[in-house]
Amino acid sequence: MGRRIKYESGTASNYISRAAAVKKLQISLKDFHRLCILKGIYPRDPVHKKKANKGSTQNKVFYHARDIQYLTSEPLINKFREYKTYMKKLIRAKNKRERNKATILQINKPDFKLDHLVRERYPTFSLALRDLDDCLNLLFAFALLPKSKVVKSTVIEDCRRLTAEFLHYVIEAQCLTKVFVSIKGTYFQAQIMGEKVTWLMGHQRSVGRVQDVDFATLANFVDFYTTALSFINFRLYKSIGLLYPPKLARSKNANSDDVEDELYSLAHELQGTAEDIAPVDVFAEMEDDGDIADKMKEMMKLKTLFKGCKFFLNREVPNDTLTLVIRNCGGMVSWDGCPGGKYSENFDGITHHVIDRPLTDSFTMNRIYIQPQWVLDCFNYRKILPVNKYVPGAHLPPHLSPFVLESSGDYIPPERMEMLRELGKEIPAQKENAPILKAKTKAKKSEKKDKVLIKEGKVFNANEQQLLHAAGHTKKLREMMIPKRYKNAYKKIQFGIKRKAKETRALEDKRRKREVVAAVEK
Amino acid sequence: MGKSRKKSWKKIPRTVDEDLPELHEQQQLEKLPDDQIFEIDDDAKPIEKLTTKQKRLHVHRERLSKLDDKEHKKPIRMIQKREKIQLPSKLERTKNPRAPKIAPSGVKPNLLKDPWADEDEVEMDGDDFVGAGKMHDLKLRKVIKVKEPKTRKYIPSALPAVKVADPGASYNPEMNDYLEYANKLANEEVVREKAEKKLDRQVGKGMKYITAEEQKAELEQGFYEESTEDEDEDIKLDVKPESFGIKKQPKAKSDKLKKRQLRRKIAELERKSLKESSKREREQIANLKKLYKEIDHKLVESKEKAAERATNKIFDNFTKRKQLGRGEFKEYEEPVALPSEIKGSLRLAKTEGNLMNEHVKSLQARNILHIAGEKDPKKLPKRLKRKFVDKWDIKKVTADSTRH
Repeated sequence: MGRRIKYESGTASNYISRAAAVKKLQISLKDFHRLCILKGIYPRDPVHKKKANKGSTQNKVFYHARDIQYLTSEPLINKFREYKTYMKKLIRAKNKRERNKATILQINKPDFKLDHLVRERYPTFSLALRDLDDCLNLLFAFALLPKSKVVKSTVIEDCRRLTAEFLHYVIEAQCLTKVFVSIKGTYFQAQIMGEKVTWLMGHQRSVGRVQDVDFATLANFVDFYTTALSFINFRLYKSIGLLYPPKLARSKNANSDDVEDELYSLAHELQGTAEDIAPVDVFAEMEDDGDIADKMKEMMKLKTLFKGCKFFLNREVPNDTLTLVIRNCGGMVSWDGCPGGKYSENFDGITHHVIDRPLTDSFTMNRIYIQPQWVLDCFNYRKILPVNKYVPGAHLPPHLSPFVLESSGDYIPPERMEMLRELGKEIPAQKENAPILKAKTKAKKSEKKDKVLIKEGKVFNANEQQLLHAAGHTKKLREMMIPKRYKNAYKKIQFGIKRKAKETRALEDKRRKREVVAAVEK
Repeated sequence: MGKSRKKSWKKIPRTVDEDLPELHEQQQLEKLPDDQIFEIDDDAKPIEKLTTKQKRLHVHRERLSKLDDKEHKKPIRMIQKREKIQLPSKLERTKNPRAPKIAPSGVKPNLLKDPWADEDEVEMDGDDFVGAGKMHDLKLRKVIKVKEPKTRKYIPSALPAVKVADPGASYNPEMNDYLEYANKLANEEVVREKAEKKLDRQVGKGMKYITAEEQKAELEQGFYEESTEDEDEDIKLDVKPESFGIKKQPKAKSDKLKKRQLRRKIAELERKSLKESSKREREQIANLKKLYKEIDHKLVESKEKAAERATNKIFDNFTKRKQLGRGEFKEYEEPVALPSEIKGSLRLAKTEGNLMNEHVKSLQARNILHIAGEKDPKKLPKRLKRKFVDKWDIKKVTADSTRH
């Protein structure tokens, strides 16, 4: 048989360090990171790090060897190399002051598409929807960034456009379910094709320049997510019968720029295709059968909550949040300066006027003046609340969070559990019930203890003499255990302690005697 | 044949030939029309007999003809013969630059195709040979993607991407919720401050915190240098014999006596322990049933604990952050609004905290991004060796040179 050569099979051959992977793929480290982010290849944590590292304990980043092998057949690697040569040419032309050549090169910059990656990473549409959380959060955060050298303006524009298109879909499909305004921003949750999608939209008055963040890495994520979101939007629009790229149903302006403004203001309806696809989640006649029926009723109620109401938003009120919520519930919105707005401030048909400042003298009697929180609270409670508490200038009731369960720490929501089980991962059934793990074991123990019958028992008095004996025995045994070379020193120390004690005792005796003598003399 | 016989043939008159029976037949045939003589065969003649090589060739040709389909091939533009491709001269090129392309604005997806629409799979022939050839060609030109390895199905974490804020972080929070949230964060801050104060106290003012490595280096400072003879002489003895300060010693016991007393002590202690252990054994034998019950109970408990540990391990695999890379993970500090800052008005709402930072931390916590720590500083050798370099090319050979 012979000896097996170490580190040739098993963990050592399955995992490969980052440096070795970069060497194998023959690309730079930056490109490697970019490739991994785009392809969705993550670093691993092998169980036996020492084995994976072939005996050394150096802290390295490991990747699975098969993933890296799979990467070798990726056509993007060639595109990276092309880009590298292009950059060399450009720099050379610039340094040689060949302006013509440089401009031509800049115009003909190599461009690569990431469409095939979307198909690879999300073979089914439901997988894409599950990853929509991450995608939306990043793009909404990027959309709020100001234009700067760090991030390209085209990227920010794309983010704004795609997020606005997604919000349009949410309005048209009327699938928004929860809204919560926090100090970090506004949290929204929508139910799209059975998946719960949560995202955070920062407030408009956000922090300007953001330092301390690695924008290069985030830009790679954004590249992939913009492509993915555009495909997802296309499919979502197709599913409810709308045209993509979105077009307005009725637009007054012929100018393309203005039409774009109107579109991205979220205030107007979109044009649909000729074939009207009926919405899937409608069950007209359903018996009162538990949760599902209740939920369906709730959703139907929510869709017509603000039907027939015409809202007007004052200048200081945040447009996008309120437009999204109001139009999701079937209302109509306009504001001062709304591109292509249907009505202005003085229109008589306005039923609700949303204002966040104390009221001035000029106000009309036909309309209800309310603070923006009324809209959000009505949405969360699924009914029209009494207006008296939300009058401008009144002290508002607290804005409660509809996301109560989902804020606790390591909690995996039940939908994720199902998803993992579908993908074949074993999640034991126990985990479902307890959101907080470790407390369970303690609860178990206390339960068991409680089952014991409680009786009145005897009072236990420890025998002090026995305790002293035991202490003495243990001390003796420990003394025997001292190594030989220290025994002498130990003996001398003990002797010193005893001598001191003896001396103090002697002195105390002397004092006592003297006092006794003094007392006797007196 | 004899010469005389051959020559005599020439003397035969030509007219005799005409009486031969073959000639008669030929003349008769000439009189008949074409149809009766000849048969026109329109059908392809079946190959009756072919050699094995010919058969193989024939089959091969058939196969090759099947490969000639233009479905998956790129159309090749035919260059017409005698077409002169004229390149413009350098001067001409600089005069008329190429028409500029439309500048690409970001990455535009190919919206003509819906990636999730059901696409027809590439039809493969039943014939193995052709099928294999086609597959190779398509894979080479990257029309079909390479088979994905199973490791692609790895899920880094099952945690949700967005962690919704506490109810106490609302822009207009309820009193109790806000107090809970603020207290939680305040406690974390207190713990952090305590740790910092402790460190300051231990180190003292103006001093740096010394790591274990630096300490070791300090201790080893003079250790590895080459010691010369002079230094050995100067070493002073630090250990003083009068350190224990004994003035009056009791009468020294002889070694034998000491050993005997020790042996007696040990024997006594052993006897006592034996006694106790025998007592314990007796007790155990009396309570056997109880002991068995206890053992069974403990076995069951340990099995349950093992099962729980296994499930915890699987759970942790999907939720805990893994150590990927050198760097330390610092959790995102949740922002709090001071009571004075809570104005309860959407108009004055400002994004607290850093959304980008939060996203990056969440990616790190979900094992998607590794944390690259600081690079390990290069450790210089502590022992400096002297190196004697002799350059023999320029030196003269003298009595001192050590070369043999």
